[in-house]
Amino acid sequence: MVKILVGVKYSLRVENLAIDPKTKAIILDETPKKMGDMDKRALEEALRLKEKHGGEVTVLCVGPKEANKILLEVYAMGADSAFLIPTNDYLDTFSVAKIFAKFYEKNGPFDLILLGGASTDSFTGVLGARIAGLLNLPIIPFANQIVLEDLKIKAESALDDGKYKFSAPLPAVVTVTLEINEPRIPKLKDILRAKRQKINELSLSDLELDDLKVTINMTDVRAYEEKRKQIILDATDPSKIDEVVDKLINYLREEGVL
Amino acid sequence: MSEKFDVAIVGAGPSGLTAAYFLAKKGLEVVVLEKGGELGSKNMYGGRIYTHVLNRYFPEYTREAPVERWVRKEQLYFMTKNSAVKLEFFADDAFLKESFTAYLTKFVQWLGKKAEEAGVLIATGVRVDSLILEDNTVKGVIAGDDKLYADYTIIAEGANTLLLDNLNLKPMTKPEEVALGVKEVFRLDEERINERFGVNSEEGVAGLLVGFPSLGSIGGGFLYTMKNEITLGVVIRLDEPVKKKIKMYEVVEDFRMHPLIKKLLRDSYMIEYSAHFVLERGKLPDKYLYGDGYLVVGAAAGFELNTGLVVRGVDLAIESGKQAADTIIEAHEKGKQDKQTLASYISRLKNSFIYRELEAFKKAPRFLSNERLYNQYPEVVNEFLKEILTVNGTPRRLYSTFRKAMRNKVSLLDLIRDGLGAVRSL
Repeated sequence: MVKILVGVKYSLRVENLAIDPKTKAIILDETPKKMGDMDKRALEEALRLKEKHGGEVTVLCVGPKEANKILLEVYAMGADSAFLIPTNDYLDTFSVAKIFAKFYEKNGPFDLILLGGASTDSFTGVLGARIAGLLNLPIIPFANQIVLEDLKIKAESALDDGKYKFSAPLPAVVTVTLEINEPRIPKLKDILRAKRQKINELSLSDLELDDLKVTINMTDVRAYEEKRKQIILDATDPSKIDEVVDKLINYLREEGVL
Repeated sequence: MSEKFDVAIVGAGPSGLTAAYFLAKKGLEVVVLEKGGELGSKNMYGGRIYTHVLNRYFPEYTREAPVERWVRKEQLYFMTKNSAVKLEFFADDAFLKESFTAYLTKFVQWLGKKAEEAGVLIATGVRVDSLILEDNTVKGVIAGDDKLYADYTIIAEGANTLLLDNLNLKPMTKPEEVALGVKEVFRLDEERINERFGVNSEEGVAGLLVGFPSLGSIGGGFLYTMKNEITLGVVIRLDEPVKKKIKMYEVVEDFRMHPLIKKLLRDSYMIEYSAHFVLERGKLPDKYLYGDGYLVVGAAAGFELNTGLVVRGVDLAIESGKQAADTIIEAHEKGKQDKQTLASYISRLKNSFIYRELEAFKKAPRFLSNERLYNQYPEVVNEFLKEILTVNGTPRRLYSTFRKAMRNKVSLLDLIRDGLGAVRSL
């Protein structure tokens, strides 16, 4: 039996970012969202561990009210209970880590905290370490394989400088990569069952975190401006092709490409 | 887990959701299965909804529905490559409430919310692959490995009738029976839309554009003003681009670069691009609209109407959804699912505006497949006005100028024949 807490983020679909062409600001309302890619794999891994060893998978999401969409998906995949802490405020990873730590203390004990190695949108990759720090737990980052054996977690991580094998006593925090598994696609009956499951909502005061203050504020985000030269060389007349090619070479030289 | 519902509905568009809403209100257990990942994500149309059915079935829509602008100006353009003749109807206040522009995605989400509040279970991201057929009766749906049993199944799968076609429940759709619609949405601030189109913030424009937008092919352009966007696009009968080797994306780009359209779109930027099938064939014959255990509603049934001047779909979809719900409620009380009992769907449709209107315009698709309407006539109209309005010392009398504009394009006989055709069909 293993009790697992999984964190999922209601992330921006960065490939579909809506950006105001004039101000270059991100239009959050118009950018589609989804469950973070690695978060989904953390959930899949938790479900596989549960299927193998028995136990319970609890999912926690900190985000806007609309995030209940991904919690429906979480239930459809097979989680036992899903919690949303609705907030529209920007929270830095340290604040989110405090929320997870408090949730862990109040709703625990858990044997394992599984998270995505980094979020799909802001990609800071530090939440796992922050939570482990607050709870004084071991942390295994970026695992692409996990095995549970004799109350120990064994994991393999491919880091920048080489392949690592880790082993840690439970409870522990593990973050996973995209390579660890291929998440299941819920079937019709899973979706219908999920529709009937309750998404639990907790407020910050339920977690005694009324005075939660962000330490780092994100005050502005702008996309880089890509200015195009919009030079069109007319190469339709074959008799002038040499001239056009010369012009093209000159332009490329001016740009330092040649 | 064994699941059994009173009614399973394939497709969460306006027809399916309307049926679901009214069935659930009568206490039936209803499930709606939608292929799109989110409600409305696969729905697309030009941009306008006619209100008469909403007044009847959802009078609260004026407060709740996501209306963008009420249509104050109806415009008809005859376009050539470089010029255009525009006919505009400026509506009086009574007419103003006849139709509004809206995003179908948001409208469908609104209907979906109402249906869920009435007790309907909507599952998105579910592709129905087939129907459960037992004893020649439809007994529910199959999605992947999952079977879902229901006493009644409503097929509301839209214009692209994969389910009906795969199960041979109707003849395959032919290329000349459908059109491809491509739409682009351009953001422009509310104030500038108001100024450019001569409307206030609550009012908008609906335009049909004939000739150049479809490059003279059977089809046309459309234009609607939303609150902060202009939506425009082109619809072309599916066999035409193949026959004429034209590329749809080029058609849309050429349309957007027309000098008149270019001015309307100045300073705007594109935020969305989409494409969808539109049915042009008229409704399916009665015998394909129902069977043992099932009914067909909305665009899947061919309930779309194009008279050349008026293009409709959502109002017909909603009405057919309501009629299907009434049919099933009655059959459910009798405890019957057979074809004979469900045949009352057809008599209900006959008593509704759907059959009255589709019957009245049943010759329209044939009349509208006359290429002269998209090719020669827009040219003639433009040429005639250009000639008659030119002042350079040469006298231009009305009739001789008109004949001159027609020369080499349309014979007098064709004109008379087409005129009579219009009178008979429209």
